[in-house]
Amino acid sequence: MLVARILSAIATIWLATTLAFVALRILPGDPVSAQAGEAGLSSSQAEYQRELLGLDQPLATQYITYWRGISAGDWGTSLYTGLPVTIMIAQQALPTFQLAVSSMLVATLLGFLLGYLAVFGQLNLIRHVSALLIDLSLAVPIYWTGTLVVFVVAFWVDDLRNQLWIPATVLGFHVSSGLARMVRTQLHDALKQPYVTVARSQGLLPRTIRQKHILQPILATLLPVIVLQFGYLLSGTVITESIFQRTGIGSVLLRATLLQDYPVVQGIVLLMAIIYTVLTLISDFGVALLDPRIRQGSS
Amino acid sequence: MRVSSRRIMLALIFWLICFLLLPPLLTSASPTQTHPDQQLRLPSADYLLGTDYLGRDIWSRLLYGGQNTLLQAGLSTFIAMTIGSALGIVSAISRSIVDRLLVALINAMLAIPGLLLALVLLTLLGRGSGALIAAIGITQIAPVALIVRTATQQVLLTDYMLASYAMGATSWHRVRVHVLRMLTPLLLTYGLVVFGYAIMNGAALAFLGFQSPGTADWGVMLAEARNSFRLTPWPALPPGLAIIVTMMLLNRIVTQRDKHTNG
Repeated sequence: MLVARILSAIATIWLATTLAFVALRILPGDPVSAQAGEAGLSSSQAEYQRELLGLDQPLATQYITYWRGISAGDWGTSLYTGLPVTIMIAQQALPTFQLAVSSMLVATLLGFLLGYLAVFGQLNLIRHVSALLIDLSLAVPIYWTGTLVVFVVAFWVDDLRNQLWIPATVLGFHVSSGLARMVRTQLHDALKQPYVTVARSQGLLPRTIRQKHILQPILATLLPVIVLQFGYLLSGTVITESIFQRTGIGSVLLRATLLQDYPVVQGIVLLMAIIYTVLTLISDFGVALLDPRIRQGSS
Repeated sequence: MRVSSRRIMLALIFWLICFLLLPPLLTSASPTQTHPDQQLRLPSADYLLGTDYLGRDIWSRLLYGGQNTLLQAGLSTFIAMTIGSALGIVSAISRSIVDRLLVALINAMLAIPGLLLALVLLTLLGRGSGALIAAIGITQIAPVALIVRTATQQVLLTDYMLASYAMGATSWHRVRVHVLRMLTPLLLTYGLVVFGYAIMNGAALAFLGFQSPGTADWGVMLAEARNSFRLTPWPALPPGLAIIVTMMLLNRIVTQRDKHTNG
């Protein structure tokens, strides 16, 4: 079961990379002609570029060369900077990693808090405000919140580029929506469970019921949602880095896409697919660990 | 507080019609005509919602921008729903090898988070409306296919499908008569979800620079509002609020339909 799941994850990554590889080569317009148009290359120069990149080879040969490179740690070279893709990624990894981790932290805390308060808030007002914030985090585009935050914060903060928590909070708020909605629904459902009624009839304290009978059982169902949110967060880093003018993998990817620098795009997407798939894998096992029902069902 | 879902549906339809059909009636100003002497005006009798950094009429840009943004999102949704449903149904009714291949393909597409897959496609499709419609539509195919596949499998397990099979109905007949009919409510709800994604992601990519500059489009308007942000935040408000209202209406309908179908 464990080995099969890992093998299928590897197959998924391989297939995703192959899809990206094929798509980038069979879609109309290869990167060299796109470049040639902008840089004003002559047709013989473009031919030379193609030969240099191996684009004149048959697709199958290119594909083998590509995988040989990947397995040897050579993820290709940028068409623009001339730097190896792995170095470009490594140079920019830290700021994106910091942004992703802190946003995820904000998103998870906020998701739990808003979902919890929307159900168990002491005052009507708290419940309504939480519900409104959940609705807004889903309906308001992050590039709008981000732009407004930049405008407001610019009065107090001189150099936004070095701030981590401001973009992390904005991104985290938007990523929290899925988790918050899930927490809210699950809490509502858990309240109706027979064992909660039984616990109540036994005279347990409301707080004990909440902790032991309501919150604990739903944790396992939330783990996959958190990982799913991480995929949304990876997309979000591209927009966030652009709005807050941060350096990072997201902004490298955006620039590479606009310049049609396909080795860079391909390398970053491969990396993201690996991260995302590995996290999904971990969450599958985490769920099995947390939830005895699933663990017993699978063994 | 409770508003009936029919009313919200009507509100959404009215809202969409305003932007899709009515712009020529609601304004006579051009969305692209610049007025160099009228830059960054606040709302007035001449300019209902003021002007942007090039002196263009924001009210007119908002209306025509909505037309572009919503029409593009609609076309992307159409691509995602038709191809996604077809793949999902074929996968569910096929023999195991075809089903397995399709599921592997769907999973591979899902391994690349939404906006990143769109960026891969845009790397070669380039910029402009056509590229955006295709990229966003293709990005949503896999999630649609996965949901439709699961739903179809559930329909296939019902007794009346067995009865229909026993009576010798062809698979095509069973899909057309039973599966599609049973799936219609789900497809409608999920279509609205995809439409929402398409609006958000379409505007995001337009914002990031994948729409031709100057186009009347909510995402482009937000991006351009950044040009004058040190002077006034005003031009960012109308397109932002328009997206929020659209998304609020969509999300509300989807939530209510979900509750309705899940009991």
